[in-house]
Amino acid sequence: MMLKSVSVRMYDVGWGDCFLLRFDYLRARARHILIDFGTTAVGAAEERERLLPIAEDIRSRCGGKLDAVVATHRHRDHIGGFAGRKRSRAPGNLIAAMQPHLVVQPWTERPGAQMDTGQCGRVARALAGMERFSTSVLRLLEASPGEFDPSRAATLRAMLRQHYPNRHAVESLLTLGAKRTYVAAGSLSGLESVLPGFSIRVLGPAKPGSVPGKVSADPLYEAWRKCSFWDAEAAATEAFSTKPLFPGIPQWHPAMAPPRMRWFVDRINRLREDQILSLSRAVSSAVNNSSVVLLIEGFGHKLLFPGDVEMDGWSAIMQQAPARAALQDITLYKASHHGAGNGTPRSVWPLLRGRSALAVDVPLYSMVSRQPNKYPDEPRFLDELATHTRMLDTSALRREGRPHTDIELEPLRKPKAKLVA
Amino acid sequence: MSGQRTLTIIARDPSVRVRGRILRAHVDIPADTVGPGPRSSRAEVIDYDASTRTLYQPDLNPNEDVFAGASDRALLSHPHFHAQNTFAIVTRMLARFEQALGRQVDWGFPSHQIKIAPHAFRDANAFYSKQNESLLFGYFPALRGRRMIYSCLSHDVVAHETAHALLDGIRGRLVEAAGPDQAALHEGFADLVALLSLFSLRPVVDAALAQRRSKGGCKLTDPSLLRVARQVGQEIHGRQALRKPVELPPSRRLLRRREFQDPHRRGEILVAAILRAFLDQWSKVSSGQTARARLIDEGANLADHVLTAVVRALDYCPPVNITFSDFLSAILTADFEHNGCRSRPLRDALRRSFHRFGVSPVQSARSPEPGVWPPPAIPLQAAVPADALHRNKHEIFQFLWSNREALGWNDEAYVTVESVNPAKRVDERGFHVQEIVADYVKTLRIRAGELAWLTPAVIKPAGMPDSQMVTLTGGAALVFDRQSRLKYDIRSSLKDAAKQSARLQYLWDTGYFESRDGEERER
Repeated sequence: MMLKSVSVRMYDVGWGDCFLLRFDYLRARARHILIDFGTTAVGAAEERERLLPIAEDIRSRCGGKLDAVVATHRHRDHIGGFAGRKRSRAPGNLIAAMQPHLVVQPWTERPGAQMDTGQCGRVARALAGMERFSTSVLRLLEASPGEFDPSRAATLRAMLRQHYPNRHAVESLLTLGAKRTYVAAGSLSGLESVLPGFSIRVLGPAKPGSVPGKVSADPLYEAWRKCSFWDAEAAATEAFSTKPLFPGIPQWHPAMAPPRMRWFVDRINRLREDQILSLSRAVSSAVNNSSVVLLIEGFGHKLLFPGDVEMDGWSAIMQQAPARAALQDITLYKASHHGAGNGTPRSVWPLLRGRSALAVDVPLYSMVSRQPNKYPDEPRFLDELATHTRMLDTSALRREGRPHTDIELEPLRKPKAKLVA
Repeated sequence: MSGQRTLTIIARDPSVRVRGRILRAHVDIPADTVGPGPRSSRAEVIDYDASTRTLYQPDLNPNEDVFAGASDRALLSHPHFHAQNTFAIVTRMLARFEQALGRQVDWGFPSHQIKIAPHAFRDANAFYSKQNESLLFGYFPALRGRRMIYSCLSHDVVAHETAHALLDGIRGRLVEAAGPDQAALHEGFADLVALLSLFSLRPVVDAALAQRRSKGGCKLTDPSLLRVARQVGQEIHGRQALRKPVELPPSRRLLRRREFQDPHRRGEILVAAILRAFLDQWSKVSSGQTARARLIDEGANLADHVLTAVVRALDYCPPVNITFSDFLSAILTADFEHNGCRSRPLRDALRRSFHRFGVSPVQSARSPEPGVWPPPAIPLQAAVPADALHRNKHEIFQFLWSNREALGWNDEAYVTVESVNPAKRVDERGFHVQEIVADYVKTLRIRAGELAWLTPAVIKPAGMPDSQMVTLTGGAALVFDRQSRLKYDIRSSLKDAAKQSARLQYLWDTGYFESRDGEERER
């Protein structure tokens, strides 16, 4: 079957990801794949206002029928829009009405994964413990607003709300689509039958123990190693109480503590907040590293959609020679983790940008769905993207008042360029 | 006034009971002046709980052991006992290190007093915080039942964290990223100290042996005695302990296996190798011995001997880029220096045990015994007497400067003498061994593209940009005798291209250069 063109539409969802891929064939119907559909807009009303027109645009562009949905990982900014609601015109309901033939999710989302024995079950249980921990930290912030330094509380709240609560979307995805696959690095996604002429490589997430080499190569190693730790953390946070542990023992009000102790009291308060922040970041990274990393290859093109995968996830990919080789010469890169530096490690970027270094006719395109100044190291990486790629950025869309942007790719007739070292 | 005071502590953790009661021990600690807290010249308990924002007032009369005959309920529910328990273990560990090293030990921060928070936060965690000059112990609800688990009541946990703090004061650069062994050494060392120090608590060994005997098992290899953090492990993992190093089957492949790249797991290899040598020797010295009291004495003496060698080994390690092989040589050298031929069987057992885990000590024809660090190739002597040499770091630098050619310096490297300490130790025969122990560190900061120009060339990790700034580190521990003669120059050389290449590769693989933090450190 001959391909006419591939177009990738990137929607401005605010803080989140949503990409609609359209594959136009000669003498055959077009195929449509939706990769992620989420935003962290606060409140159902704002979310609906932002996502509803996007869902309608998707419906119109794909003629009311989606071939496949890829939900890269369970963060709200990636899958929140799939949540089914009572009102029929909810964005999630519109997507469900497009009856996707296939829904692709990471292996960690497979129902019953937590019951598995061995390391995979441990990872799934750890991710569940992490979610419990995050939810209870959010509750803690709401129950005792004065307990945290205001600016840190705001950071924490923003970070956690970015991800949770997200139960509706997770549950909706369990029933979405005629067929569902739960993929791991090296497995078949089911998209092969959806996209004639293309080969689909699943580069991530790795399953524990499946990555050769060093332990740092296993992106979810920390999760399975500390499976029960997260249960204990969740229990400790859920059992939060402001009542003293030993009420019968005389106390000082911390502000009236002997002067030499005040430094320590302040430091420990701060340390406690740092710990909760750091654990919350660890949770976020672990879930990001459970992202489905898809490489769609065909007709001279390689389109890379890595979700929000971070350093550990990339390490796992880079440990495998075939995967490393597959990353050479890509034509489109969806910047991982919204353009944050940890989404595209410096050790990986020279490989990904290989095409630009070869100065071939077809440049390397990049797409970044982001909010400005979200990450401190973002400008450095965005400079790299701007220098080495033709970058499309949702911030520019916002400035121009456009809801989406497209990249059109025609089949490459030239032989594939090869990267030298 | 007596030179020590006796305090009651929980011997292992509240889950270890004998005849239905929590197993306790009465331990001696130096009779430093103690105020409410307790608070001494080296440690202070500040019982602040950041989770509930509660600051408990201290016991006003900490000099009396009011918990000597207290009920289990009182031990578990009274924060003043928790304060006493942690204070006593920390103080005892500090004294033990100072005795082994033959000098006072600094903390790894400017203050003289480490702060101890027995109920720092509601969290399944405990740790040493250098920035906060403190040891922080969390508490958390048991996964089953309504009990609270206090990490401050676990001897292993308190001893482990105290060992981290002491190690940081003695070898501060061990926390730097350098290689998998160095990261594991901190964890392994802390576990080792926690387990070996248990043998000085007679009730713990007595209870473990009695329980084992009743089950008809082998008396000396009781695994329950050599597991780390039993109660915390049971509550967090639903298994018997956080770590069970002595049950690790020896294999030369372990060091290469994926899971043993993790510092805690890799540290278990170090602990396993040393504890297996200890058990081997304990079996031999108590061969044919059936009296439990005698067995315990033999075990306590041997554990004390091994613990002393392990702590003293810190003075015989290079200050940076340490490997298990270096640490083994350091233990062998420390023991050789202070115990000579008498202790040869223990050193043989250590060599055999490490060999089974794939670790070999230094090999040099100049070594007086296999695996012991060799003396300097060229005899060197400082120009000033020993009592002047240890007075300040400039005297050591003067020695280095005068002998820079003999020591093979790279002139471009930045050199700092980081410490100089006199050590007065007593060997097994009761003789004084006086040494001066100093260490210096060299750093060379260059662009990755320049690594190939070094002689010998250091290999740049694949994919690292030529413009990436990297810092190579080297250094040495210098040990002088009382005549200012250099006895040992124990170095991790800046010119060891294989080691430097491996270090850079490790930093590159583990993402050290990815983070802003890594960049700033490199800057």
